[in-house]
Amino acid sequence: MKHIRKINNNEAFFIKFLFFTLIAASISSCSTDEKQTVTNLDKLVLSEEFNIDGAPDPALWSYDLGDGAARGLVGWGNNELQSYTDRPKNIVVENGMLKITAYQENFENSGYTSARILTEGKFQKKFGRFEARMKLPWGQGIWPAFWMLGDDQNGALTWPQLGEIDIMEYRGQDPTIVLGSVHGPGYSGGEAFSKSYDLVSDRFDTDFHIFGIEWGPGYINYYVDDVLYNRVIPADVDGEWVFDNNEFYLLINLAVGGSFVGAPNQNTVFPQTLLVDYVRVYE
Amino acid sequence: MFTLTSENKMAIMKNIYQMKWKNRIALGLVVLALAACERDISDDAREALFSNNPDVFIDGFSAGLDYFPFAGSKLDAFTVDTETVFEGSAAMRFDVPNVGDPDGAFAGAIFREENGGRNLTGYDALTFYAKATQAGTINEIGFGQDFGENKYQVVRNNLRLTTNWKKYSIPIPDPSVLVQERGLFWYAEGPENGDGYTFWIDNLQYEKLGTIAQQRPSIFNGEDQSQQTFIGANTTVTGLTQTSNTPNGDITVVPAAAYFEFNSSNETVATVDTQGIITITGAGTTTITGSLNGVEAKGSLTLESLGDFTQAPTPQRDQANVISVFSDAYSNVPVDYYNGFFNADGQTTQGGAPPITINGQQVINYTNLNFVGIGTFMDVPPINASQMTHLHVDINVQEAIDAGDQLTLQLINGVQTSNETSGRKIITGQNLRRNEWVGFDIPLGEFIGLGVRNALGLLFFISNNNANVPTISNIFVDNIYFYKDVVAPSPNVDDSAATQVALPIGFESTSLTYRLAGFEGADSSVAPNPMRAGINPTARVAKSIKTNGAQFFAGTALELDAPINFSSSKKFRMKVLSPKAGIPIRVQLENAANSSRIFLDATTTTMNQWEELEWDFSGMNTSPSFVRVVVFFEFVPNRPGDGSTYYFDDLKILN
Repeated sequence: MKHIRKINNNEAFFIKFLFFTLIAASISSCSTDEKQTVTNLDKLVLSEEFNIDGAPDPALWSYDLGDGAARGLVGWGNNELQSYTDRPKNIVVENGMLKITAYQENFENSGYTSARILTEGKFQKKFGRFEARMKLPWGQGIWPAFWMLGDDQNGALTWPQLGEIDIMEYRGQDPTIVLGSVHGPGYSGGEAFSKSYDLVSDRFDTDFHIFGIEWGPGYINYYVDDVLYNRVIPADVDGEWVFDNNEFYLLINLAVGGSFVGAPNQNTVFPQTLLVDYVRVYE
Repeated sequence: MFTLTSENKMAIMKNIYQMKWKNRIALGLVVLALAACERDISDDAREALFSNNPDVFIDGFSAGLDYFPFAGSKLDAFTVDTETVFEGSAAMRFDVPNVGDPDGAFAGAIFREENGGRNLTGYDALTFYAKATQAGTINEIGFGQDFGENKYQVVRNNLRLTTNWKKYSIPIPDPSVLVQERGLFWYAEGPENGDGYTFWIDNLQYEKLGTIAQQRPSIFNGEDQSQQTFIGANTTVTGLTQTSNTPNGDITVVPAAAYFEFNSSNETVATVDTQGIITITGAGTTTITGSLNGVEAKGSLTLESLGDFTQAPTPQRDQANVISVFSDAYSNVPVDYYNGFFNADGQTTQGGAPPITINGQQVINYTNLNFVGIGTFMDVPPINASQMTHLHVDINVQEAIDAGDQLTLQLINGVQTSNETSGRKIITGQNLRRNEWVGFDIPLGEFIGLGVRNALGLLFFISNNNANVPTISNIFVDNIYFYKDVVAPSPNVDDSAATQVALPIGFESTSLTYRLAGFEGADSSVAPNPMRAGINPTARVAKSIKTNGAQFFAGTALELDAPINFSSSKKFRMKVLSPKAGIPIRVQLENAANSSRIFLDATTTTMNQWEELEWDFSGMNTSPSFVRVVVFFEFVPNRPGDGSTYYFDDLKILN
């Protein structure tokens, strides 16, 4: 693995916006190309099964801590309300699962605690099939995400030029809908290329589902379980395609509040736990 | 009850048949578009003993469905509308009446399956589209009401409708129990701010939405409550709710008890049945909890059973002399309530709504007491206690009695009228006992300020002290009744040989001068007995005319030659003859300078015949040298004299 230099421009790095795609659009996209296969790549190159109890494997995962202030970005660029910790209370591996749990509690300057881990400098890869099997939390203001960021090339690249692939994002108040997005130069934040997928007659918080992408030269396919719901190609994005020449690393986090999801309300039940059964990468 | 005629039904069913094809085609397109996003629907449907037809009303009644309006409702509130529909050829139309509609005060009905019931175990919600002519709020809407056991009744309260068609759902708390449900739909809705309106429901059906989850049942409204109790008492698990999360947010319904499983942590103390009835069987502590479909319910009730309950002594007075408010020994007058919950006025008192039953006998347990009223002035006749002399109440304090503790009883006559009067009687803590019944017989005359009591509308129990701070918080109350204490008449007084005017006085001496003086419009003198019969055949008596327009405090002063001797008793007796029953007669005892005085009221219980009344000065300071007896007839503030003539005789201290 290559040495990762300290990030110079953190500000843009952590900004991550999405826009809400009309459900109608996602429905129409589902019935298009019947020749699409959900996945092609099946050579396993990373298998994080979360089988060893305790903290997440430090050889693979690092933490982002606090409320973002240390990076000059209180609220992690999204007005998020939680403070991230590495306490077992917020993040632990047990019973074959990674559990990230958000609490409503005063901690440092935040009203909530949670956790975020990332494989930056420990596992980075260009192209492949990246997927996680997860059971999501629920409730107004709950925002779990499984996503990727491009390597910053020792500070040469800043967000959104370095690229962001959001494999799964979800609003706890919309327990049937997930979103998949890409951010790059000219199509970041509210202008990202994004699609949502609605289970319609099931929910993401009652059972495990597989959230993945299959990413190759000139395309990223988004799928949930065995349903391909989004295919992004360079022609779709309103700017430079930044996903063919850079390695990306993985992030998993559970945010509370923020611009994308809104604040929790009195009906939000705490604590809320994001369960991750595995993270696997194929090529 | 009204049901659709078979002719109507046939017409509707024809419509269904024709319309279903059209519906299927339209629906099919939508399903196709969605299908690519969905996983296959599992095909492991279990065989159902009863029909699992999900339809209630699509474009007409589904098979076997019938309509039964509630008694008192507008019977024709429901019609089938073929013009305003969400989809298809017909919708259900409900016309909520205006206030005062002679046809019925509200709209409400059940829709019942008449073929034995449906198997609804494969669904998770009752869904429908609805709209209204205005933004109305349906008071109650749900399913499971069958005019039978209503075993699995569910209601969603206060469902807000808009003027546009919108889809609503009523989650099934636990579908697995609905193997044979007849009550497929019910609703009840009254006028909005006095006005009726119309709402429509269409595509009423059971569905497996798959998106209803995160159920959070509650009992006791989600609170951890505690309560003291006794062997033989019963109470009920209340405050049942089930909150489910849906893609449109949380929905809370009120399920029947049968959806829950209840548990008592110590069954030697209390048991709880499937209906949530808790029976206290032993001493000790137990906690009642519940679960619904395996999910532990929020809220609990911890019962501390103190063991056997000692009932208040059974009253022995003749029903003929009693007006009972609350007693198992008598037939009670109707009351509006045993707890008025004047919460807007700061009331904290719980209990009495309803009274509790212990071993078949009712008792009221007021807790968190600061004040509480028993009402008899709204929908029931006020109590005419004019003929009564006393209020009886048994009180059992359930906590340590501290210095300064007190209970005040307050009676209010003519509640919310221009003639409202009230009087209070304070019971000090020294006269109360912890975990012990104490009976109080309070002469109604001691409710100073009450005056008349021909329309008693409120009896308050007040634990607040003079600083308005609550003292005693937990009491049992029983045997609340007014009674007429018919005192056994004492012998007539023959003072014909007396050498001075001193008690006892019978006005029979022809040599003594009875210094009798009327004042403020009373005209008083010694006179012949106008009715030498019954208990008073003696020749001479005192007479007092309360002249027209006399002050209400007009009276008669009788000067004594020797002070009253209370050494044998503090009960003052007098025979009176009044043209009015139920009027207060005040007796005031004064020293020579009128610097010390004590007074009490007694009330006539009859008219135009002699009766003996008692003024019991026990507990009052009788040490001053009282040498004047002042008698006020009909001492009712601001009620002037009307020319009535009163007589009194045989003044004495009871020996």
